Amino acid sequence: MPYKRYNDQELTALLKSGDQLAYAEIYHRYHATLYIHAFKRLQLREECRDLVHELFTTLWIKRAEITFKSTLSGYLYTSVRNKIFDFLAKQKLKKTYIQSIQDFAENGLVTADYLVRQNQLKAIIDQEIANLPPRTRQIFELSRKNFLSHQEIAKVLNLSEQTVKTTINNALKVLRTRLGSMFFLSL
Amino acid sequence: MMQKEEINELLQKKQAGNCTPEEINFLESWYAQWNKDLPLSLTEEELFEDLFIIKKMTSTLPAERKFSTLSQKLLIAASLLVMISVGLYFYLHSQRTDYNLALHDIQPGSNKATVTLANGQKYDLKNLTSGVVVDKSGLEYNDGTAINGIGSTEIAAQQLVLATPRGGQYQITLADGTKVWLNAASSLKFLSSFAGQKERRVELTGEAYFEVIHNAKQPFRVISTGQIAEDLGTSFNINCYTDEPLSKTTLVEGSMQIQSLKNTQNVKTVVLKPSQQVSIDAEGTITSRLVNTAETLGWKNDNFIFDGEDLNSSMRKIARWYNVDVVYEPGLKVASTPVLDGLVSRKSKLSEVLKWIETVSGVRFKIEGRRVTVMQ
Repeated sequence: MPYKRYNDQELTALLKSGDQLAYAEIYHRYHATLYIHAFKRLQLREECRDLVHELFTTLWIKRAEITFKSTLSGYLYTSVRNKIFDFLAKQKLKKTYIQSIQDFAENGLVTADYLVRQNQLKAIIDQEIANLPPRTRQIFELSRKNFLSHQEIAKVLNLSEQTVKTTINNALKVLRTRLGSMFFLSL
Repeated sequence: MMQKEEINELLQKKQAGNCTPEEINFLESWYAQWNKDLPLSLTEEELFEDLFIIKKMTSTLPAERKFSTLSQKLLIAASLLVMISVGLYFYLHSQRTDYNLALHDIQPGSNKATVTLANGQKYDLKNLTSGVVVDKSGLEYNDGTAINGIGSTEIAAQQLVLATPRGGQYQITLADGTKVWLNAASSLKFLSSFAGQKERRVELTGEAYFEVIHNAKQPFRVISTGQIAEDLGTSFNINCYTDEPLSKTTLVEGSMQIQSLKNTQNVKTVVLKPSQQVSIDAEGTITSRLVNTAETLGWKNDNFIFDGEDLNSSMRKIARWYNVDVVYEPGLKVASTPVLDGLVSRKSKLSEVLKWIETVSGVRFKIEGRRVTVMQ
């Protein structure tokens, strides 16, 4: 798989030219990082899954218009933050979110420089991945390699293959329900 | 103290893109420290499940959205109509295929093989036992029972052929204790005794997994299409079906070497390391890569394991195991057909395997007799 050898900059150039494999490689590199980041903020599984899915959908559809001002990761991290802000604006705010903003308004330190904030965001996300417990970290690594065989996962999670199969079947059920309701909406 | 309404209003402004630079500074600075030091409260299973779902949702490329000068309302109405008809089409279609799959189901392959003696006499082997053993008393089933009609005299010092049909598999322990598992539509030619031989030479067509009893004084060599594989203390798998583009040898444990026979001018020998897979194409070109051996040995453990495998190659495996012919509906874009990831039991009925592929990919299937049609 030569795409694994491309760096982010090369991948963005290929993506812009409509290369589907470049899109797939970007996806493999970043989906787990973005999901973990979003989940730590919102603590909502389904909403964060949808959010990451939407983010990648937008990346593909708008690939020609997007200007990657800094790096690919910079773009993706800013996108996930914007998506989370959008989510907050759309929902009835949870008490914990309000509390957090109120506390910050009282005691927080505002960083005025846009670039400093962007570097800050990257550092936070890197740290989040570095701090994962070892077993979770292994799942993260496997997801990036795009290889999740039942045996491999079972070994990492120290579970029976049957349990892994059940987990996958649950996931497929969730998907079917989603696709089912989408179908219903389209009618 | 900032009020709830005030926060809400600020977030609305942010979404609408109407924030002042100061407000953006404030919100993004808040975001930078929000839940920063919270540990991830997902179990490993939950994280795996979520990543799996996201992967499946994102695995199909989103459709392009382009708005022309046409009124958007009209466009939405038109696309709604398309969505309804496409939805309806797939709905009716899926009903029809499901019906077909269940109605004309096909049982999985099982333990089936024949053994042919040097005089051409062929014996069917029982399907209640999984294998046969060659020993001093001759050829017998691995549960110790005799094979009707074959005595030790009949097989003394001669070449035998163990062959599986499509939809069959069998295991054999050779005279030297080496174990061989034969996949469907495969054959192994071997001597009933290696005594007095310089080497232990066997010939393979199809696919087999070998667990060789190493003996440096009498090397174990497997001859197959275009290559000789020699054991240096080894477990390995060879896949050399004639309908596969590449002949693949995968080393599981130990050490072995492969010699390509195609390129006689420039004889090449490659020594393999565990997990290394060597492929030889029709011209004799050798390529090597590291693989997950669990995937290579999936068949031996009664599984189909697909690791980013394309549909054509996956369907060839299925055709051999269920003894079916696979045809592709004319106009089906093979290049855009999906890549499969995952595991499904080889003990499943054909309909279950096809339904699994339908769920994880976009294609649909029809079973008619022993023919499977792949449809968009």
